[in-house]
Amino acid sequence: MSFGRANQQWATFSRVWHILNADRQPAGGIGVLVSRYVQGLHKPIYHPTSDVGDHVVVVNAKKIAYSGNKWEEKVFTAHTGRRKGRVRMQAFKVHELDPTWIIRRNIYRQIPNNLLRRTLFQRVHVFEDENVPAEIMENVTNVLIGPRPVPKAITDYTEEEKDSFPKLFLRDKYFLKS
Amino acid sequence: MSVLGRLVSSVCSCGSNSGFLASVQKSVLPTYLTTRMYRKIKQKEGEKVTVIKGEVFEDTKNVYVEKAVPDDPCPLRSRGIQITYEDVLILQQFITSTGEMLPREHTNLSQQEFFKVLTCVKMAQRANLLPGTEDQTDKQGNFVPKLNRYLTRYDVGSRTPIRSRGLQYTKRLYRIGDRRLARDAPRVSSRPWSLNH
Repeated sequence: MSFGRANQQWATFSRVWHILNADRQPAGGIGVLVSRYVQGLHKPIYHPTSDVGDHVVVVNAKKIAYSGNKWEEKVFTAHTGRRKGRVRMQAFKVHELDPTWIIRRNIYRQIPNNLLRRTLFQRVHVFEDENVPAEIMENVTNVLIGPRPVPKAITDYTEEEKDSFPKLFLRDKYFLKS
Repeated sequence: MSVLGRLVSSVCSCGSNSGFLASVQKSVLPTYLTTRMYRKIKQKEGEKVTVIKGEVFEDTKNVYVEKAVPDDPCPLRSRGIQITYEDVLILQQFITSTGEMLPREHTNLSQQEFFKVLTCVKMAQRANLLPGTEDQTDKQGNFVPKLNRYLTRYDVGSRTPIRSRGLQYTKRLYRIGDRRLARDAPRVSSRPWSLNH
């Protein structure tokens, strides 16, 4: 009797811990990506009733990016059910109060609305900083890449790259460099 | 106009900085090194005397690319270059160190290209890719926290909140990017740039 097949079975059905850096990533794109890994849709053995979802740790949640002027224009609403219970807050104020709220809301809403949603949402761990507890970092084995390719700032280029880049116009003979 | 269009289309257009050098070297445009002088103000304070001098430096590392259309004074149009807000190495040539635009008489940009560069520079400044305005205040004077953003069309504190977005067929959309850039900017896929969210 060979035990190689048992190891293969355990390896395919094991629960993997992923980590994702949300620095300068869009909030909606992260929700789509994380819900996909939490449900187990990235696995060929997927079935909704067989528990094949993974854990996902999201880091740097307070450095999330919104395209356009959504930080000022986007308004989140809620109602307590009582009189004068309507709450309307702009996105940057919500982010100030709880930096993880926007990401968690997006992920929760991307998971399908069924009885599995709350258990799958418990496998999502969102942190505003890079300070993750050691109990969780021990389990992490895979790194996920964010949906948006982050562009390079001018400070990220070295001096050699800046100098070797070709110039498009020649300056005046005695140009005052400010 | 048609001659220019044909010449411009023959020269390769690029969107990212990494593709520019490779595309230029493949084309016939020659590159050569030039030496240019520039002046910098230096201040020395002594006991009784302060000396303010405009010292002359030699800038030897200047790699210059010739134009495909030599008669055209505009540096971007003559080489068939279409820029996006991510092309920071190209945009840096048209601004000062504080983040203000150089005048058109200096750079010889055409009016259309100048406004394209201006919008790209502003979007890059709001995305913290270029040095620019550091303080951000609202219309009422409240301090707006420095948050990560990209493709911001309007000034940071200038937009009011959208409380009701409307129904599906008359929805009020968030505006993103710039229409002129989306019309001209290069894209690998055939899907057009999204301007409304």
